[in-house]
Amino acid sequence: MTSTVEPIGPLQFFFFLTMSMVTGGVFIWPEAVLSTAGNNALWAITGSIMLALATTAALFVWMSLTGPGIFVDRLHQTWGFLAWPWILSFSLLRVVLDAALVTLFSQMLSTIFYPLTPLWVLKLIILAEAAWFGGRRLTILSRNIQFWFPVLAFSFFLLASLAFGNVQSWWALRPSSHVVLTPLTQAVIGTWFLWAQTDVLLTISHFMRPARAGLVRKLTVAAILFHSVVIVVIYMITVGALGPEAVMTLRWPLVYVLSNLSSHTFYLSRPGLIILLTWTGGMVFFSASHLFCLGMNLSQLAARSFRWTPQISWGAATVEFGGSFLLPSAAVASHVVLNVFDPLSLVLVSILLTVSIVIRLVMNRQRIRKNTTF
Amino acid sequence: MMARRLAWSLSGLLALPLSGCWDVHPLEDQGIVLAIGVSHGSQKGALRWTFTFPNVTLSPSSLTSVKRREQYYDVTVHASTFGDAVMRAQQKSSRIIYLGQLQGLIWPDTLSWRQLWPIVAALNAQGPIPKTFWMMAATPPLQAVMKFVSPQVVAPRTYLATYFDCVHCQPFSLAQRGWEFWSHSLTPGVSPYVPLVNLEHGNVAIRQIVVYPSSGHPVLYSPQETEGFGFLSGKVKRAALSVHWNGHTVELTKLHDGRSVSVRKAPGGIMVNETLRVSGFIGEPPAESSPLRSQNLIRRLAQQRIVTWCLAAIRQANNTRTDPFGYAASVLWSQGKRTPFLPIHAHITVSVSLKGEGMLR
Repeated sequence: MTSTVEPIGPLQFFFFLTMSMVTGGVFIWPEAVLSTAGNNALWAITGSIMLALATTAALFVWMSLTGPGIFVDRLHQTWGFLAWPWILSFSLLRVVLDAALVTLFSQMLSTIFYPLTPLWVLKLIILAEAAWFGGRRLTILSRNIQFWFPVLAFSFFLLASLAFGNVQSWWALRPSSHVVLTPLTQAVIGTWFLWAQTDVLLTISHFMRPARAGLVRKLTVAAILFHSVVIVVIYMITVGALGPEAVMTLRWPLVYVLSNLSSHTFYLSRPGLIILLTWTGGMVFFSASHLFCLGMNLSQLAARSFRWTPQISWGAATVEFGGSFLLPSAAVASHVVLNVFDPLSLVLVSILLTVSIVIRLVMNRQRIRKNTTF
Repeated sequence: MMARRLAWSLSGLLALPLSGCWDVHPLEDQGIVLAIGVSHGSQKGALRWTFTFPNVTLSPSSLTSVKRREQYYDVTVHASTFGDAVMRAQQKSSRIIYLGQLQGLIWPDTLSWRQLWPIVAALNAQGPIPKTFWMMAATPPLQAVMKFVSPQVVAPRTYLATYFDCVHCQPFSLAQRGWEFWSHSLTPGVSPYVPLVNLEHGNVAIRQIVVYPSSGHPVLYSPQETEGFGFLSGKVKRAALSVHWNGHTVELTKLHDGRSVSVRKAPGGIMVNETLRVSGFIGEPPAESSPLRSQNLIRRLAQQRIVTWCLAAIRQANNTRTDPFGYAASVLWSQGKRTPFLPIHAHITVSVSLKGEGMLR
């Protein structure tokens, strides 16, 4: 397929991919993993990172067995007309996840920072900005992410470094010697929403120049490792400061911990407020990267071109906005993310990657046999 | 062109609510609560709540003309819950009560955990209240402590908030922020504690802690036990102690400590091995003997004294089934258990190193 989309550089690819995972869901971390895994939480975090690396490795195997193209092109090459149900299922799950995360985010803003502002205003602003960015050209979106990502990452690590001063429960940061498999597995599955970026990786890697598979692999692993550091740091500053039992009672433990920062070193007496900028930026670009990839794939599927990307991006954002009203509370939204999206999406990705690799191996072998015969 | 103009106008409109400008509340309409005091009420089940506000007539230009005693004023109500108390205080006030600048929560040392916990939980559940306020017990009357004014402190800061914020002002860092106390309350193996604030001869004195066991009445640690607790939990900031040697009193000042702790499960409790490395400055050593020899003896006496305080604190913890040190927390977490109290068997080693200050040998 000949692309009409301008290419992006390796650094832009790295920032784009990094922004598309963890960022938008990080504010509810690590309450769920602790509640499910208990004192096996650190093993669950290790398992979660392994899960992300394993699915990405499988993804690369599939990529190596298919020709160039974005997600939907590779689905076509592997599944033919069955690419439709796959892409629609992925799109639906993506919309469900983003709607739930935007609901959780706006609930958090409303509870802690803007108690008098109506929820719909917060949701509308975030989704409108995300759709606006998601409807831009790839180069424009990538440049924006390239500018904002370092700013957001710096402010996060600055606050995290200040929060280390409040860590007192060092004992809670030691991995347990009694590993119980069932809750551990459940907890690992419950973290999948952080890493679900199959569509994003397969979509934007096609536009990276130089188009070297090895470079894409290295940058993807680097993105996963970067976020591994982020989630471990968050675990340390939340569980280390409050203790695991207290973290389990909080819906937004990271917000709680950062809002407790008080500093006499900076001019700002409550530096934790900087996180508001970090999260809002993170959430907007997290959603924008998903909307952009959703638009590209659906547009390519329906019209064999990318020209409907902005319209689909705005349409999906509208559906997310409407869908968020079906999630009346943060508890329901958390339930949707952890108990609906996570298992469904993980099962879907596992089946897709396993079967796709087998299909492509068989197809490639048949082609080789045909070539040898003739 | 039209579409672009529309887009700009819409984004401008969207930006308006972003800053919250549309629901602005003027400062002069706000009743900013600086401290809350909770004590036993006259009626059964009801508590007495005192809300302290900065005097609204204060402005930078009037600071010098308003008497120090008039910098703050109170609103007192009787209510059984925090929410009810805020509502009643609101009824008595013509300004909107704002809790986003809360600096302290104070209660008498006799208030039971059963009465205290709902208040702590309610304050923690309120989103806009910053959990960085200081928590403390005080000897009644609470108003005297809450409105204690120092010439060094300018309203709307309260004296106790500035005192606890100042890390160099305290010999032992016994202060507890709202979030610390709340998280200790929820952690098995840790007994929450707060400093006890007293007014002695018109000055604030903090020498003891009040510890809350999982059941029963609050436990008051004596000044020696509190110092032992301070050393054992690494809270020494700028402590001082004096030792009597050969008819002399030698002052050791600016003491601070480093520590290493190992805790393991033992039959019928927990075994704690703790090593304290205390360092500080020595005043003028006695002149009768060689400075080196006298320093070694003084150091040994100081070590003995600190060990005595530490053991007194451990003894008090075991007697009252409290663990403000949080020793048991690691054992209970690794075992996934919730046991109210594990007796502490402690092996404590203290080493003191002293330096001379100034030009004296």
